[in-house]
Amino acid sequence: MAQVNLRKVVKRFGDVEVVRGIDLTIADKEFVALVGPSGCGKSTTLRMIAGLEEISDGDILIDGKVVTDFAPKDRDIAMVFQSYALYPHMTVRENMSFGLKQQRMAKAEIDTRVDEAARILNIEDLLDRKPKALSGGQRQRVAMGRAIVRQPKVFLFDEPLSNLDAQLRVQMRTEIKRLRQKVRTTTVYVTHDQVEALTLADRIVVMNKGRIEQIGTPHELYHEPQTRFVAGFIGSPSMNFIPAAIEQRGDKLALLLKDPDLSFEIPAERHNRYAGLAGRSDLLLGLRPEHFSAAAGEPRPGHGQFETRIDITEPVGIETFVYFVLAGTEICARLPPTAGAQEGKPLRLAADLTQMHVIDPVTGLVV
Amino acid sequence: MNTAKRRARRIRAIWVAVGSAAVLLYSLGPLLWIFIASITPELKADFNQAWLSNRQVTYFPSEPTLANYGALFETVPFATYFRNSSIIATGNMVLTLVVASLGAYGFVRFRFFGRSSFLVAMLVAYTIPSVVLLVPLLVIFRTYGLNNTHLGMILAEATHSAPFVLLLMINYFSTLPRDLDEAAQVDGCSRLKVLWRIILPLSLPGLVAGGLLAFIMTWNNFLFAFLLTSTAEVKTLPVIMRQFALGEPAVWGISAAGALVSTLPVALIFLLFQRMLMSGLAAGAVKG
Repeated sequence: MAQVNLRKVVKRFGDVEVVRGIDLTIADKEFVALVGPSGCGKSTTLRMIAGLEEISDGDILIDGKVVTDFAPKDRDIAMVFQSYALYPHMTVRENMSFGLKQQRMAKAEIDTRVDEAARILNIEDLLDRKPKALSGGQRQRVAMGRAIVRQPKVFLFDEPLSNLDAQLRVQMRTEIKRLRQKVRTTTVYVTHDQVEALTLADRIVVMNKGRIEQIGTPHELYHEPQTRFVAGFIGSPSMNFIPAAIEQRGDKLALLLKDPDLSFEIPAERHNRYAGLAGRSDLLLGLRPEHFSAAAGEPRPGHGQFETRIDITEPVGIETFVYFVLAGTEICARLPPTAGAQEGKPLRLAADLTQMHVIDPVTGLVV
Repeated sequence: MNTAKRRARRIRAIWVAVGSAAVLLYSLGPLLWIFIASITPELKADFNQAWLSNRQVTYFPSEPTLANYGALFETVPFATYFRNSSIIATGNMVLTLVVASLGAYGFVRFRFFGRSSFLVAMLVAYTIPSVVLLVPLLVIFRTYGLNNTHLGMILAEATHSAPFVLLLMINYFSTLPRDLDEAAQVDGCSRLKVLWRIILPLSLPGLVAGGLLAFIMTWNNFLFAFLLTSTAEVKTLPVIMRQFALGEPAVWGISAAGALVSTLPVALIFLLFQRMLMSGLAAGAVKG
C-alpha cells in the first residue's frame, strides 16, 4: 500500500512560483502521468516527490507518512532519469545492485533480484558491460532495471523516453506497458508527450503554468476536456478552435460562423448545456480533426455541411490531414484518403456537432 | 605533382624532427650535464683556495664512478632529508586532495550564501605570494607548537596547493552530470557517500593530476622548507641542495648525485601517470 499525496505543494525559485499550490492524490498501484508544456512545473513536482527539490510550502505524503523533510534515500522511491544517469564506472550489474548494496542486503538476495529484473527486461547478456558499451535503448532498460530491483514504494519516471529516437520510443513505450503488467507499483510518470501519457497512464494530470488544469482518465481528458488548454493540449493534431456565436432561433439553438456565413443547428441534446450562451458572439467552437468528414448527400442529424477550398493535403498513408480556412482560422481535418481532397480544389465537408465543444474565452473553460 | 607533395611532406617532417631535437636538447641537456657531473670523481680540495672547486669537468670522465652516490648517503644525512621530503609531500598531497574534493563538491553542487565571494577569496588566496604568509605562519606555528614538525610543514604547504587543486577539482566536478548525484541519492546515498562512491571514482584523472601537482609543488618548494625549519629532523631536499651548492668547497659530484636522486621520484611519477595527468588537466574527459 503506497499512496502518494500532495497537499497544497508550492515551489518557488526566488520570486518565481513554478508550482502553485497543487493538490493531488495518487492511489496505491496507480500509474499517473504528469503532462504539460515545458516550464509547466511537472518535472519540479516529480523532483519534489523524490526529495531532490525542497518544497517551499505544503506537504508530501508517501504511504500516509509526511516525507516533506526526508532525504531522497529515506523515501523508499526509485527514479528513472531522462539521461538514464547510469554510473559510468560500474557495470550493468553493479549499476543495478548499487541501491541494494546501500541497504546492506545479502549478496545472494541482490543477485536473485538483479537476475530476475534482467530477465524481465531482457538484458541478461549485458550484465557485465559498462554503460558506454550500450545503445540508448539498452541504457534505458538498465535504468529501469535499477529501479525495479529496489522494489520501492513508488516509481518515478522523468521523461524516460525523450532521449530515444522515434521508433525506439514507441517500442520502449510498449515495453513499459508490458513491465507495468508484471510489476504493479505506484508510478508517477512525467512526459511532455501526450501520446505517451494517453497510452500508459491510468490517470493523467495536465499541468500548465504551475497549476493543475485537469485530472482524469485518458478517455475523460480526450472527450471531456474542462478547459481550453486541455482541449488544445490533448490530441494530435490538436483540436480546432473556431470563432463562433450562438443564437436562439425559436425553440432551437443555432451556431453561427462568419466568413463564409454559416449557420448550423445545435443538436437537441446540447440545448440545455448551451442555453445560457444564446446571444453571445465571442465564443469558440472546439472540434477535433477527426470530427470532420467528406459530406455525401443530405446532412446526417447533428452534422453541419459546408463548402470549402482545400489549401494543403498531407497524406500519411491510412489517412490524410487536410488544411483549409474557416471563419478566418486554419482548420485541420482528418479524412480518409478516398475523400477526394485535392490542394486548391473545393470540397464539401461535414462537421460532427454531436462531438462539439464550446469554450468561453473569458473564463477559458469548456462549457 | 605527387612526388612534389611527397617531397614537401618529407622536408616538413625533417624540420619538425630538428625542432623537436632542439627543444629536447635544451630541456634534457642540463640533466645530462648533471648526470656526467655525478659520475665524475671528486678531486681533493685545494686548501689554499678552498672556496673554489678545482675540479675539471669533462664530457666523458676518464674514470667514471658511483662513489658520489655512496658519499651522498654516508657523509650527509641525505636519507633523512629524502624521508622528510617524502613525508611532507605525501602528507600535503593527501590533505590537499581531502580539502579540495570536499570543497569543490560543495562549490559545484550547492548554492549557498556567499558562494561567489568564497570562490573569489580562494582565487585571491592562490595569488598571495608565499613570502607574505611566512610571518603569520611562524606565529601560528609558535602558538600551536608546530615549529619543526612534519605536520606544521604539511599545513604550511597546503596553503598554496589546496586553493590551486580546489579550483582544478571545481573545474573537473562541473563536467559530471548532476543526474548522477541524484540517482545515487535516490539509490540510498548521503551526500558524502555520493562524493565517495560516484564523484571521486569518476574524477580519478582529475584527482591524480591534482594530487601530483600538490606533491610536486611541495617536493620542489624551497622557501617554506628553508625558512620554517631549523633542525635536520624536518628539513627537505631543496634545503640540502642549497647547502651543497654553497658549501666550501662546493662538492659538485655529490651535489649532482643529490640533484639526480631528488629528481627521480618526480620523474618516475610523471612517467607512470603521464596519460592520466594530461587528461586530468584537460578536464571534461569523462562522458557518460
